[in-house]
Amino acid sequence: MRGFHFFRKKSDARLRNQDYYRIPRFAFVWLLASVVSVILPHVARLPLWLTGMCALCITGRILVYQGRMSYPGKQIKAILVLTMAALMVLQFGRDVFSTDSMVGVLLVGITLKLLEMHRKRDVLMVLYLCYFTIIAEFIYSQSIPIAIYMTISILVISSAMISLNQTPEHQSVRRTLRLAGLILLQSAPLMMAFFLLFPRISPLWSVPVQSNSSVTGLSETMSPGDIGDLARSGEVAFRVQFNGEMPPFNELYWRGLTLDNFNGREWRRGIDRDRPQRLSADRQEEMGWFREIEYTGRRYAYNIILEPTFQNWIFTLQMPSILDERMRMRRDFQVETFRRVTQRFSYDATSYLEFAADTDQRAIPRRSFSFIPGDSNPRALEFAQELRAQHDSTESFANAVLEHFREEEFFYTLSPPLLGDAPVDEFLFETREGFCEHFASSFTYLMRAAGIPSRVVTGYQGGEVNPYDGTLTVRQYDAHAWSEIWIQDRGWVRVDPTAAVAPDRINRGTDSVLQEDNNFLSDEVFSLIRLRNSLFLNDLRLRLEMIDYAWNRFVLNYDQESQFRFFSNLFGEVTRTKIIMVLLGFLALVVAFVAFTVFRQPAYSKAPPATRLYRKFCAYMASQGFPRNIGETPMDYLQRMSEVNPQWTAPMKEITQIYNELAFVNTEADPEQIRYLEHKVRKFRLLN
Amino acid sequence: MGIDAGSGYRVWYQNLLDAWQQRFSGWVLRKIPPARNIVLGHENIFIIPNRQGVGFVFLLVLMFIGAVNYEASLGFALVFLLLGMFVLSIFYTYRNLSGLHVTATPGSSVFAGEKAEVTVILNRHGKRIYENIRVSFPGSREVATDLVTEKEQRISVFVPAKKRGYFSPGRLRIETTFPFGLSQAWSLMDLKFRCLVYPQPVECDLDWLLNSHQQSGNTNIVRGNDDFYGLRSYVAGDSLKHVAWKVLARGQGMYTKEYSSNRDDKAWLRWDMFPDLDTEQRLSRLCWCVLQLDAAGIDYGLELPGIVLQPSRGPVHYDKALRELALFGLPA
Repeated sequence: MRGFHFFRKKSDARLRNQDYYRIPRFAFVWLLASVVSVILPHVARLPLWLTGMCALCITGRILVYQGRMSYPGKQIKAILVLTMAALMVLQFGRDVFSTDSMVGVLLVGITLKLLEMHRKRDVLMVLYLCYFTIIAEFIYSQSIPIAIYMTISILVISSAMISLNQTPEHQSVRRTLRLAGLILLQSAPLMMAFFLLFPRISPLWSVPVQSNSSVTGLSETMSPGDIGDLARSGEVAFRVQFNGEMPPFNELYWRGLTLDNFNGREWRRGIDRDRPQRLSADRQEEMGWFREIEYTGRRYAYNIILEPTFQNWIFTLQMPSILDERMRMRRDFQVETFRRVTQRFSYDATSYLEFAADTDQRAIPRRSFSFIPGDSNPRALEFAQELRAQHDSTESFANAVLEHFREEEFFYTLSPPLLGDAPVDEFLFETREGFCEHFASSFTYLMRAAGIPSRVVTGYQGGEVNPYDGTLTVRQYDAHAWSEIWIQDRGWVRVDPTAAVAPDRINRGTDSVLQEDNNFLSDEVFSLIRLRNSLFLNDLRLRLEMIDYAWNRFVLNYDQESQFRFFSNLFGEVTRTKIIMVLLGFLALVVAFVAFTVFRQPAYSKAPPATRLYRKFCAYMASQGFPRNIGETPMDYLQRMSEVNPQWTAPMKEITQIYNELAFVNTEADPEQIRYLEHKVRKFRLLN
Repeated sequence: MGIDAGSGYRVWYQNLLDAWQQRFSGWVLRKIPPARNIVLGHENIFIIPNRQGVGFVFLLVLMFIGAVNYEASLGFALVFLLLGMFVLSIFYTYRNLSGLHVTATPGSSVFAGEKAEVTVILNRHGKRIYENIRVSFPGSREVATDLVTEKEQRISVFVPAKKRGYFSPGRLRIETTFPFGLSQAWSLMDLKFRCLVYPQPVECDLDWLLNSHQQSGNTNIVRGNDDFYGLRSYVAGDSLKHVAWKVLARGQGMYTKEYSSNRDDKAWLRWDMFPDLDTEQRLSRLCWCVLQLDAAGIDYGLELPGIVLQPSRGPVHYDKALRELALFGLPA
């Protein structure tokens, strides 16, 4: 501040500081509203004691304001801070520097600062922190409702800023709010331009996002019951937009993990010694095994927006052929990213439904793909070996197993009985009720028991097509598991045993099969998705999802690449100077526009008619080379002009006198006199 | 404000600021010539983001880093929205001064060491409203005002008058940080008016002075008004202390009581009465004497080098005497 108060003596600065700053009543209310509005969306995530602490501080501040309590002394403040620090360490332990705890510190910091507002600076500090807290909320959620809520929050904080700069006498809530709204509205175009064009930088350092709420989604391993649990959730896993035609519904197998290590109960990922492979369009750097994949049939290009999984593997349709440089494909066709997906992740990919991979027997370590722990499920082992003896080809054996699933009394259900130590045996010969993971696991086990290389693949199957924008939404309840078996000369072939038991699951989707199941969507008590049976509500839901998709795709996933595309579409080749020029140009445009709106009503527009006439007269004189000086009184001007040209004295004197009379003495304008003045001015111009 | 980075640095910084201030002051003087009334506009408003504004930009940088690191698209949007708000606020702050008519009138005369009242008059035309305009003179407190419903605001600013003579309160500083307090618009203007400041009264032994320094021709001067002489009709300007209240209360009209001592006696206040003192000290004491004699209702004359006021009394005489004391020895 020092630097800008050039003309204020130090002594008055001190005088002002000694004044005890009492925040104006309106500003105080605005301030509390700001603080509460930024804390509120965090409450669900915060530990209870933290919310309590915030509430305590806010209540304390209100009591101080009302004069029922004095500002807490140093000791109380020290106790508060220490208590908070201790609770923080207790709560977060090793994760005390995690994002969650940092947000907690920020919120408590704001409310504690409320108890220490002695100067205007402190109030401003709180408001700045409020703005900052909004960013903290965006780390967790950037949905449309949150965006709307935060817009209101920004409006409130900005109003608080304004009311802090208003005098205590003249304050009206409406005027403050309207001004804040107007300014924010006027900055919106600028925001849009910068949002679209300002170069996006990749993160400076990686920040771990930890959230108390556990994420629903596929896990790294598969044991009986895992995927069934997912059917309780209607959360979105990812959304797909096809670039062109969509594959048939029953071919929508979204490949996730390849699990080839079985311990008798649980399927895990195996150890992969080959380096992951980049899939680029030009096929230059590809290694041998990838070159040998033969793609046939139709090619599908699509964009996926994946919800955060906090894993580094992602989903692709069947066999991908082109991926961007952020992803690699492993030897087992599992696709990985370099960083864990902690934010919504948008990626483009190209896939084929028909392919032949690893056709050569040497390409796969046969032994490891057909390994089963010898004593884990003896009955199944025996059953497989007997059945295998009756069939000569791998294909016919596999079909016989599928036939077995179809013919015997196997049930597809979300709530199967629990399985014990030999799950495959129990499932195949006793319970015979299960979900996709039971079928996939048992099928793969039987294959391996017969010496056929095979593995389990988990991912999603199907999805819901939104008729309004053609996107496919894949939800957690679409989670699925199937098998891959290796056949000489054909390579890896997908076999889905669930399709044998519940063909509707594959052809029409999970919800068509599980509608009646009690466990299905049991987590979504209040979700619109439960109301799919009401035609109207379902329609509404699909429309909302369409908006949500557009929001995700075009706003939240607007990244370097989309920016590049957008810019080159508009302005051709992208160069740094060009970006800067465009940004500056836009800035100038907006500023000019605002300057125009701000100054549209010139301060003089409603000047009294006499003043306007006199100004007109002065303008005429200026055009004759004798402008009225800034601040020169009309009488001084008259004096000076009569010295310049005595002829002017008489008419000018009359004009000046009438003007003085009308402007300063008799301000209630008399139309007659104004007309007279007008006449005089005109006459003067004509005669001189 | 909060920086205590060694006194050496501060001295250096202060010197730099002072030098800057001087240059700027000269420049402002040339840019805004003195005038009786001034309309604020682009030629006389200065605007610059202030400390809070710099803080706000710093906040935006932090938020930007947050948005980059967490790859939060809406974070970018928020930062850019606030950036736009910051840029626009500069215009709004400017607008909060522009178009305002400013003029000022001095209040009544004061004695040196007191605070002179200056009434600053702000006028607005048109629909535009002005909020939280702060007005100050060098050494005065800031006074804040609004022009929302009213077309004109009169603000009393009290400026310490340190020296006798014609006093010009210096440049009127009119500033605002409305709406967000992120930038500051201000103007400095010399409104070309002055008010008279009398010397600071300093007490002295009036009786002794009058007795020992009276010259021939006026003998028998006794301070006091003990001997009642008679009543005469009240003349405007007579001291209220000498109004015959009892007579007035009886409804017989307003009379002034006359006393023997002040009827004939004339006090001469002379420059030579304080041989050991310098000019200012003499003037201060003479001023005090004038106040005392005026209160006592005694005729007094004033004799300064080159100036003689014949003995008289009443407000006109009182003003004249104080005026001579205030302006004595000063260039016209």
